[in-house]
Amino acid sequence: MSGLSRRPVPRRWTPGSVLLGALLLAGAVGPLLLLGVWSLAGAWFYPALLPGEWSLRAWASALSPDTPLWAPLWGSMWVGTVTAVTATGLALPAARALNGWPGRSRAWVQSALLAPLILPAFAGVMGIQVVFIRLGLADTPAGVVAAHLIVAVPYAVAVLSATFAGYDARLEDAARTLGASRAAVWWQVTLPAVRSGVLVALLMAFLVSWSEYLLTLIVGGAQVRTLPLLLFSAVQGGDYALSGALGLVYLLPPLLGFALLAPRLRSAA
Amino acid sequence: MTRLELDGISAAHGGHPVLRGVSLSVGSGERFALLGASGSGKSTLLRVVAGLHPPTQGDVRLGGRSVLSVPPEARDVGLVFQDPLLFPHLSVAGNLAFGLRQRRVPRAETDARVADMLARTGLQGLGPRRVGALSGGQAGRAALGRALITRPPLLLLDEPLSALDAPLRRDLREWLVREAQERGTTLLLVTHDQEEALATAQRIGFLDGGRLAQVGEPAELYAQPATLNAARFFGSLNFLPGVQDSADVMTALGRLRVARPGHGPVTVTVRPEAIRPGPAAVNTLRAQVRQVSFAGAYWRCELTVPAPGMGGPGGQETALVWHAPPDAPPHAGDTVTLHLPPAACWTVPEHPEDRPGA
Repeated sequence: MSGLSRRPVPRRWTPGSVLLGALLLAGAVGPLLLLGVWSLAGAWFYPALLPGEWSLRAWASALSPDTPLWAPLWGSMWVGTVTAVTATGLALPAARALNGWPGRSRAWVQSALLAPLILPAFAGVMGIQVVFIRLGLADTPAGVVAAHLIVAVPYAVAVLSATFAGYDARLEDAARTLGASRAAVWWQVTLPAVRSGVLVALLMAFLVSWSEYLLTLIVGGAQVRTLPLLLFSAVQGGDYALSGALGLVYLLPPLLGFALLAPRLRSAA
Repeated sequence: MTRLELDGISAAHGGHPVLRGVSLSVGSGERFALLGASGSGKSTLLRVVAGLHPPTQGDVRLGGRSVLSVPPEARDVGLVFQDPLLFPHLSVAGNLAFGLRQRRVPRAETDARVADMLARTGLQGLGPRRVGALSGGQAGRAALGRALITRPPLLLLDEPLSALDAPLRRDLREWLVREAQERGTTLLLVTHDQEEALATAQRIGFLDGGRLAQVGEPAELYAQPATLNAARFFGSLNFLPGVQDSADVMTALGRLRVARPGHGPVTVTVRPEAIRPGPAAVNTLRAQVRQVSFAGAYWRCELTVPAPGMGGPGGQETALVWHAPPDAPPHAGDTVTLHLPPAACWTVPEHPEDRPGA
């Protein structure tokens, strides 16, 4: 298997591939450039192609000691991390158990686990809110994490089911006969064997939580501040320069996470 | 170096019975092979012994002590699977060290034993290698080394290395037998390859439909199979149903003198290489050669014997397979005189029609 993955892929530039690459790049980088320009604009009025006046005001305000950024940034990081670890922790045993199941019952359980992906969160969020108020979870960070888990767990399960599809459970039998207890098998055989899937699941669950707006707003009741809430209020307040700066800050952690993750995935393949 | 006793083991898979009351005793240091077609329950039996599959009935004893309540990791029973099943995230040395690490063997001793096992398995210098970079043969040897390094008193082999080609497998098998002898390891091998069983084991058991049909020395199962399926499995191709009266059986060929006396319905089975050219005092027949094909050590001849082949009240035409010696092969169309030595006419107490699926 490694023999195949290490064979160098021939690079060939054709007009089609160059065009496709340019389009992809423009689609990915273009909006970011626009954000960057906005964040540096002092005054920018229609129909000028570029701002008439450049300014660091938005960045100065975004990065000042009394910036409105820190609390939501910390909130997003905290909620995202707890959500990612919990969702992956819940999805791991589920995906491992599904690996050995016979066809039909697996399809049913899998559908049930993935259902929140298909149903729009909007439809469920009011019900969730009512239940959470009764449980005393409304307006608390724990409640926000619990609400994020509803959408994050299906992603983690989807990623890990795919990982476990290529997993040979007989490795665990081999480890048992070599003297490993159930716990030792889990930590020394199962987890390392699906390590790259676990990393992807963590990142996916984190991203789901990181970009969640509606659930945070309603369940958190503005008591739990996260970056999307801040970003929305900045945009609604009409301060596009500040929105641009905040938007770029908002992008940074996911990009950082992906950059850290990518080389590990390659070596594990 | 331990005695293994199975006492009336039954086991099921998804509700279907796979093993039905298997009792077996393998002596300390003995090499025992369980033979059977695929689906006969061989692998399940090994998993029961290793503790990976709970039996529905019966007892497993190691060294005289029941181990049913002992989890697999505490049974000290090695198991080598059909595939190497090396841990993909560990190096070759890491795989070999796995069992020692579980036993908390000190680092220095672990390193020494891993180095020794790398040398014994011919994997010197490959310790730091990723297991994905090993060839099939190297991976097989690493798997054997990983199971042997903890020196289990009982080693179970589930068609080990069956993915490898024949010469490589023979080498590994011979190496394994030497290692086992050196340490007095008890070996329980499961295979559908009779040659492998004959070459490895001192005693053989034949597993058929979840039941242990026969246990004995290789030559015994070969020449004196207890059941029709055992006879088939060990290469008999001629089956003549009939009714026995003392030393003779009335078959479609006529009156046949057989190896052991008896009474009632039986099937006479004759191995194709046991048929001899020329006439004799008893069991002589004339047959037509239908087809001849070269098989290396012999010529495979398909014969038909017209009824009644040896006189007396026979039935219809009978087909036989004869492995003719290589020196003077007959030709298709020839009529040949042959005899079936009574010692080679073995009787089993069943009729082929009794077991349509067999």
